[in-house]
Amino acid sequence: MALERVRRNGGGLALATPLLLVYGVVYLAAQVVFLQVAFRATTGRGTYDTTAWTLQNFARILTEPYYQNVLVSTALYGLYVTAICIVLGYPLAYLIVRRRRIGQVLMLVVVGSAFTATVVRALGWRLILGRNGPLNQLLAGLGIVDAPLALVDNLTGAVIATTSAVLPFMVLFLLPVIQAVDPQLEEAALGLGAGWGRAIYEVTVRQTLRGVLAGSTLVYAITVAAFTTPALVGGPLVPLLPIVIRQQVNTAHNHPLAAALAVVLAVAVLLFVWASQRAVGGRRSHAGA
Amino acid sequence: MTGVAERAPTTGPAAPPAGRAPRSPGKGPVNLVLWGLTSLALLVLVVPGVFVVVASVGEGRFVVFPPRGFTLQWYSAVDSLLLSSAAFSLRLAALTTLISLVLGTMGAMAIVRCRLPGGNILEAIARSPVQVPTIVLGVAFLQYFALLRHTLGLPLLGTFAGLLVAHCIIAVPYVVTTVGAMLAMMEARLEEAAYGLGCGPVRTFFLITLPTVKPAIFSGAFFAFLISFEDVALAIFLTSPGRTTLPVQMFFLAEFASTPALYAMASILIAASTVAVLLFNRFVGVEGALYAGTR
Repeated sequence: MALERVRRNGGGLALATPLLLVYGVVYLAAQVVFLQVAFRATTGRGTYDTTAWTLQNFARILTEPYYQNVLVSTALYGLYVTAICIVLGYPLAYLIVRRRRIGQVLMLVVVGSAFTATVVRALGWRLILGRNGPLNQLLAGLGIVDAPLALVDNLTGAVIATTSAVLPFMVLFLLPVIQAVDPQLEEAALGLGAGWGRAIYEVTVRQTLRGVLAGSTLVYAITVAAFTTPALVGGPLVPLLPIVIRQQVNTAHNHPLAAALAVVLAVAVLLFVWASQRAVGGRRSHAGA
Repeated sequence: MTGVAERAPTTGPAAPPAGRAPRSPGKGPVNLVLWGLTSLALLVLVVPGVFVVVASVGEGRFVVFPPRGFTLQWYSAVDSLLLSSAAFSLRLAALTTLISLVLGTMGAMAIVRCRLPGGNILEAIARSPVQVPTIVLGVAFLQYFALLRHTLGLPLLGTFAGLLVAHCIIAVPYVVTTVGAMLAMMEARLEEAAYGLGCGPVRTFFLITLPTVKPAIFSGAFFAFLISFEDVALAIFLTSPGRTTLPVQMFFLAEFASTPALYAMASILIAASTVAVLLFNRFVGVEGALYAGTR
């Protein structure tokens, strides 16, 4: 048996080697290179001074009003999207869990939408929210607005479209959380005289608060890191971190500043992912969701 | 628990405390709120796809609402740029799937089966790319590949090979997670038995392990393909217009002008992903695959 273990330990190293190699030589090395670029001074189109270290990129992000505004609006945008996702996602997840038959159909809608290319859904939102798009026509037709609302190429559009993009993650996260609550407890509450609203609230909602918190932090992290949807529906000028990062790389060619912005984003996202894992009380990757 | 929901005689809806509530909130304000919000959620999920398809069959050269007439001409007007980038994307996603399946399955075997010293760290590293925003990885790879080209002359920036490596790195975690979870669930005893009967490690893997974790391999492959095929944030930094993936090409086109042909291509993608999800659900099971990584 001991011999077996030794043989298989050698095998383990051999098995892990290709992965270690690719991750070490490309992934981890890239992180190191990019991290050090964040502490360099730019010298023009995509180049930087490799002789000295500096904190000026981070100082710019924290002190210049433009970047302060970017940080604040990114944070708020994450909050809006997450809040809407809780309000829309919880009832949807609840019905998937508690209404078996129709739940399967609802589940397929959620998964089908999650697996439709993000670009495609963003294209759809550009149409719907456009100046002469169906939503503005509907609002005008109903007499709610006189002039078409500006819903595209701004934060409003980014919030609406990103909500649609990350809602499936919220639902998929909440499903096992709600599933863990015994439906008979709700019936018990009913038997004790609570109304349905009270039964659902006192039993299910209160027992799942931790899960909702964990799901929300995760959705928040996914939202502030999202690129495709806010870039297409929010437009190239929307003050969101991922969009500003791309602008710094492709338009301003200030790679150190882009790297510093990316560090800020990555740290924020990792903190939220970590908080989410803490809230759920164990290791739970969002892989597969 | 039958005694809990006591079947007390109904005293009428006017006296809810004593009355027996229905098994589900069939009517009433609670149900209205639940279904109202759920309908809104479904609308938000479904409506973009619907309008993409509607826009693709209008007759005008520009996308207008409501669309005038009905035509399928835009489906034959999908230009060669989009088609060649679709071929580029398919090739890339297929290779990404293949390579990350091999790397990820080997890694999962090493982590779960071999109790490799430092296996926890390996697992944490193998899973970490999922937690770093893709746009951050895009910036990181861009700068690293630029450095490699500058110092060693390695052609990874703007090439198929470079994007392939990057996609493998973001796809591997999904394979490690799904295959690893299934390996952990499955008992090692069968493998031990095969060893005992004189099978070598390679033969044991192909005869015993692989057939048992096949569902996890399928779902890992599905996610790996999807991650690669759908990525924008990496490819937008690592490729150049004209020689890039389908989603990035569509992204560029959408930033300039949305043509009906673009919406036709998008509709084809909707059809493809719908078929893929239905097939996947039929043969692997969506729910099982989605929660493979959560223990």
